[in-house]
Amino acid sequence: MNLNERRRNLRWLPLIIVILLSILFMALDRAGNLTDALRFITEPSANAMAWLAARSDAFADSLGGPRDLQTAREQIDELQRRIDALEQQNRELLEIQGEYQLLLQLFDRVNQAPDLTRVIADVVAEGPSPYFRDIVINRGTDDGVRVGMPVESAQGLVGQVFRTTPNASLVLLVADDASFVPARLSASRATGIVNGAAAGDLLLMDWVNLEARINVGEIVVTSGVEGASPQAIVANRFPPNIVIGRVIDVERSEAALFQRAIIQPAVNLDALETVFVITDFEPVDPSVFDIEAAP
Amino acid sequence: MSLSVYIALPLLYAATLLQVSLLSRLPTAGFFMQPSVLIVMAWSVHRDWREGVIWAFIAGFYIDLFSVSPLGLSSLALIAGVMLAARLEQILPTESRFATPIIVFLGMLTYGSVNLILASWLTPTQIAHYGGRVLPTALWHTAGTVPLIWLIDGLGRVFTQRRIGPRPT
Repeated sequence: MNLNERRRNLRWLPLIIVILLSILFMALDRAGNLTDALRFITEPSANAMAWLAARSDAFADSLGGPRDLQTAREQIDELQRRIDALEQQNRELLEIQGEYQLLLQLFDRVNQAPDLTRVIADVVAEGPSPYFRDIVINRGTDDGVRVGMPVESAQGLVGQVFRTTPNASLVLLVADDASFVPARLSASRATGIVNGAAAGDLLLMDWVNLEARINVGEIVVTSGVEGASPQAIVANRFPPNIVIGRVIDVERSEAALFQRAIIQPAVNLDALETVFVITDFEPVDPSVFDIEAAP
Repeated sequence: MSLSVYIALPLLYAATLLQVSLLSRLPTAGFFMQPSVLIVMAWSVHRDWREGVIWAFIAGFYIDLFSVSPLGLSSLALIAGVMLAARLEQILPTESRFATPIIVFLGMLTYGSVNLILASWLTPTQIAHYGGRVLPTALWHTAGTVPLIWLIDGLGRVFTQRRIGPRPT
């Protein structure tokens, strides 16, 4: 091989290296071997995200309220400035009231299910990929958060912890295609699997027995049964009776073996601020079903 | 390996951090923008593909680090986009004013498509669910990248002229 040929071959070396590295990372990540190795990046990142999130809220608020800014410019006399000050005070009070309401809802939620141990967390970022629904919260392994733990808000189920660092966690939202939640209809008691594969923010409840009579408006809750879908990228363990959403439509075909319900999530997943991570609960023992199934 | 990788590491990290912490909280009217992807594509078109693939690898790594997607997935998709853009630069008449937007758009379209195909292959993500996002995202990214390329080209010309210009007497 002469020098020119060798040079020509070396031109492709960076491409080959980065492709091989990408494939290697993919394999290691899927096997779960990279989490500890990447902590040196993810730990400081979580702090930076929390810092930026705190500042970006104020920036987003200022973009969202140009009318207030315009008014403020037009107000030139002392009286008008006083009105501005009072309006500002009023807004702050409304904000405090909103936070109070949120805390009250969270408090109520804790009272509804006091047996569950929870860690309260703030949402500090959203995932950067257009094809996944995920958020970052400011609690990690130092706070007792582990991969697979369910995450809820005052309104209902939010998702499941997918990846953790000592001070932050990545949460796979219930509306993601990769999320599978064993669920039960509150009135008809039929069970199924809730997945985020519906269009938009809606959810699908699949594998519902054809004989079950599903009513539109029926509440869907977690069933608490463990390990219902082999497709799930994290073990699907959820405590029972967490509200997932409400049935808005039913797809039923006599030719199919199962029916499907379209679910409106109880939680507005685009406006999450504060969530709970359920750090400890008693999962339903699925072995009783084995006994029932036995002849 | 070019020294530009030392710029890429912090720059693309900052761009990804900016996206997840700041852009996600701003009203974007449904548009999805990945600043790190814009930077990578602009740099690849401005420079040669060998630098582009390294920048693509770094940007993809950061994107996957802050997402539930398997690490390496976005890198591979971005490398595919960069390589296609580089190939098109050789084929298309680059003196045409439409060449750069077309090259960037097809590169972005490749990135989006490969990303979605790999995601649907490696995770339960469904192409039917997110397929509608690929084209608008590619267009939106193209609209962001082309001015960035002009900016980099302009800055490059300014600095090159300064360097080779006659010394003041």
